[in-house]
Amino acid sequence: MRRGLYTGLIALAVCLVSCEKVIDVNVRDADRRYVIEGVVTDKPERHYVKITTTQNLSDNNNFPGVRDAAVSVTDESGTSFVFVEEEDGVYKSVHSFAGVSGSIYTLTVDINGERFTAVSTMPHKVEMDTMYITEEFLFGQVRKAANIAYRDPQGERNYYRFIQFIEGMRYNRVFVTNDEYTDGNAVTDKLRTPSDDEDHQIEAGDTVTVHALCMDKANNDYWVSFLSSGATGGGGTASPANPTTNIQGGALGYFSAHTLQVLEAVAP
Amino acid sequence: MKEIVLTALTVCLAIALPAQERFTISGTVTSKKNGETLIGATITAGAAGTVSNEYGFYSLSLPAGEYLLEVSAVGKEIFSRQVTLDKNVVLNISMEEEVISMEQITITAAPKNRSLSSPQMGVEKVTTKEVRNVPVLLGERDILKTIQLLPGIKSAGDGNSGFFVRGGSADQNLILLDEANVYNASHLLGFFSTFNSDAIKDITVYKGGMPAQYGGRLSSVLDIKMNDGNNQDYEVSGGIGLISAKLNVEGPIKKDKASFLVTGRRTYADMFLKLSNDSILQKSRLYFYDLNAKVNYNLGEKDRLYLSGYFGQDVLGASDRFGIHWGNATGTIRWNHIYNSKLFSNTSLILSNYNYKISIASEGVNFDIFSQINDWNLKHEFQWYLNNRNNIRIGLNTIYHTLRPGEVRPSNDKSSINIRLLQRRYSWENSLYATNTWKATDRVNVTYGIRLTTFSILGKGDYFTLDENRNVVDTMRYRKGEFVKTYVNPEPRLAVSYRLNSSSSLKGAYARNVQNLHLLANSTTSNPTDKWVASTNIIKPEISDLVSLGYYKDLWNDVELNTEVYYKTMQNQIDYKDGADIFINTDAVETQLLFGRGRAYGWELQLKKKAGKLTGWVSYTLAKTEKQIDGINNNQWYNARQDRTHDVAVVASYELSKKWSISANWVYNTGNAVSFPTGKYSIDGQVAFYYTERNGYRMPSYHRLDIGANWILKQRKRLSSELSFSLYNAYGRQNAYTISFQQSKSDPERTEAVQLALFRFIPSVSYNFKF
Repeated sequence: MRRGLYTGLIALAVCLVSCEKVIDVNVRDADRRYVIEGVVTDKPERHYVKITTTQNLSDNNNFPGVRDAAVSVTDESGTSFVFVEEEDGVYKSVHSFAGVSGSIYTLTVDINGERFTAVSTMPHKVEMDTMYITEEFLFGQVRKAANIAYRDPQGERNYYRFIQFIEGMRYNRVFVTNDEYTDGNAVTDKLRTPSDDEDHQIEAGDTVTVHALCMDKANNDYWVSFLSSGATGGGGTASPANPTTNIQGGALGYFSAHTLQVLEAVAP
Repeated sequence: MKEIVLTALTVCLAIALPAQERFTISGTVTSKKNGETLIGATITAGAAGTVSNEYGFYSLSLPAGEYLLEVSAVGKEIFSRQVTLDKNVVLNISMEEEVISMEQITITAAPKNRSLSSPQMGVEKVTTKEVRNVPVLLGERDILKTIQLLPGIKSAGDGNSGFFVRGGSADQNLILLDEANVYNASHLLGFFSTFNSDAIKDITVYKGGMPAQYGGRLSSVLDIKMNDGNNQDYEVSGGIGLISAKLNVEGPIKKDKASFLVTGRRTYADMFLKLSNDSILQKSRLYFYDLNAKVNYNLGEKDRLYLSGYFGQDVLGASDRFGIHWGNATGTIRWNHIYNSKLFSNTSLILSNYNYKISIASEGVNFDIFSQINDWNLKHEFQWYLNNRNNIRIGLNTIYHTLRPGEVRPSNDKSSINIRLLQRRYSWENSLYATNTWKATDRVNVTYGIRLTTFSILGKGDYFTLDENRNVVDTMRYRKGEFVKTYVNPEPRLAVSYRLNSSSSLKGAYARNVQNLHLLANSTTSNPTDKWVASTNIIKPEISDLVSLGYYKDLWNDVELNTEVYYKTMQNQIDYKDGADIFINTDAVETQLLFGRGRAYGWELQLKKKAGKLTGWVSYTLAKTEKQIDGINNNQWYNARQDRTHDVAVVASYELSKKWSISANWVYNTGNAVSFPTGKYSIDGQVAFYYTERNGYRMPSYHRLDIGANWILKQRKRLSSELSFSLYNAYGRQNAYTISFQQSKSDPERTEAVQLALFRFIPSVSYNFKF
């Protein structure tokens, strides 16, 4: 948060003299790598694992799915849940099941003789108390933002992620937070949208939906490094790298067993 | 070790045996106009010669006889006097200003007769005159930006005052202001340096082969000495520029005995924010100020006391929601004592402090983050002018460092933030050094010495053992004052010069340097929150070994050619593991770091014209800097971020008339090494970038022309004033500051690279006066 504000101030300080332009950069092509996105929630539903590959920068943004993979999730009692391919690269569990807090889940993916595994623990669920929309006046503009209030349980580390939908449209901004500084306190997290992101501002009357996730440390580390290490394309870090993943075997992406609570509010 | 020192001393003493009766002439060289001591004045008597030291003291031992003593210094008339040496003589020399006749305008920007015979190499002297002539961003005259135009010294970025020396990173430069270490030498996110050039007497940069009295950083030493203050007359000078105003007041407290100097500078860009009708902008703050103060007192013929201090702050704030202020404070008490005509000593007690505080106030989230580094430093040094072949320095230095890496405190009781204090880190650094400058023959001069450094990490605190994945597997608790670990490192230094003829010489040098304080800065811009850490049981002292060779020639009257080659190896270099977070809220910052080695080599060339209507230089550097760190780039060697192949600087200043002078500088360099993504992928419905190697690409090459003009309005004894104009980036080159990747706004299916360029066509005007 503090770095975000800080970058904003730098931008303010230099906005009068700076200029941006699109340039040609010759980037070498790299070998393709598998990208795995696996999710198990505490909702009784068919969970998904999505498998794609990396593309060259000059390619378009259609990322074809990887077919014919063998995908399964095993819990610590040895129960195995098989996933089958539903559509291009998207695998769903054959049966609905609900993940259980405290359980350790292992994802196994076999593609063309290569094996990828990942382990994730579903943490305790922290109930969100309420969500409401407020207005904020910042840099000459009135902006609406969702606020989520909850009481963080004392004495354990908790990692949160919020996914925001405005009028049913998913907003691809990563909101992650944890209780490093707020252990045991009543906390209100505000989901701010950058003021230059005109397409994702909340307007009066909009229905705002937020998925509140409680996740494990490995997934917190994934999203924190996703934001700080250049995965979003910013030129701010001196040593950009791929986010730290919990997937073994050389694939990008993550496997997350998390709890899920859906909150909804209409913007005044 | 001990043997080497003893042998050295024996050799010296053997040479010291008098052939005939010898006497010593000694004293202090000062300026007649303002009483300032003169550093590096050349004193010759017959074939013998010496230069005044950093406090203006000189000592020359000669056989009894009649001598013509000649003294020269930059911008001063040559002083000469017939001296009869039949006993030890104390001669304090007061030098007149150089008189420039109306017909003949010759400006001496640097010493005319540089010391070809001095073994010191890799050294650059910058005069305040040169600093004044170089056109700079927004007209803020800047020492750090001027030295970036020298060969082997590179700018850290567009408009940035950070610098890289011979492949070293920005934190490997020891920056001293009146002997006090300045931890963050920049203002306003690196765009301006903390040194107000009005109060500076002497600027010396050592790029390598530094003498043994300096230590603590791998790459370079930038030794800045402030003026002492005019002890003859009151003097007020100042200036008003586009972004800042400054004032300098000095004068005698007691004529010839004691003087003071106070100088201040403040930017006022924030005043314009107040004019805005946006209430957020009105409440925003963006300024910095500097305050330098100095007092000195002649306690008698043999003792002199100096007190100097610096205080600077930056304040940046958006409304009342977010604020950060940061700054340095230094203080130095120095005592010069002349034991006798051959033995000079200096004792210094120095305080250095750097801290920042961030304040955040949002609904229910109110807290401050504080961090600080604080040093208490005691130095004691003897300079022993044994005879005119041997000049010995022996000294010791002890520093107590206290680092407070980060402290989070709620700023009101409604805040949801808990108090959280990272452990303070304590360490004790000691150095003992001895060095001799030995005139071996008429052609060969040698400086040899050794610096022995110990670095002790002290409790109270927790120290860790990590596994190969850099997870903490064991924690060791230490009590207050308990020794955690002590590192002992000898640092040999050797420099040799061989005078080929009256106009050229060859030099060679070797130096080892050790660094125990390291700056963690994992961003492309310099931030006040970059984190200083001390060596721990896991972070080992950084060690560099530098070998350099040089050839120096006076081509004709006032043009000199300098060229040097160097090869440097570095051990225990620090880089960040993939996905590192150095703001991590844990005492075990080592979990984010990886260690390895580095190497740097290059060739530097400089052609310099020192006097005449046209002065300036052309410099070129060809260089390579690499790192090899297990865990990065598949353990292969990779380019360090500051690696640049070519660096060119052309600096020129031309005296059109008595009133007008014009100046220009042009720089060109290969872009820094940078990591670009080599692919992309989709995760959670958004496009993410895929990286395969560290620093495998280059920023576009950088070039820029700045032009400037000085117009002297009045030049009288009582009042002089001038107007300075400058245009930064005169042909408006869009130099890439950062390059980022994003999905095209017009075609979201495609990815594009976007370059941010900062400064183009920045004009400025400033008015300076003196009375």
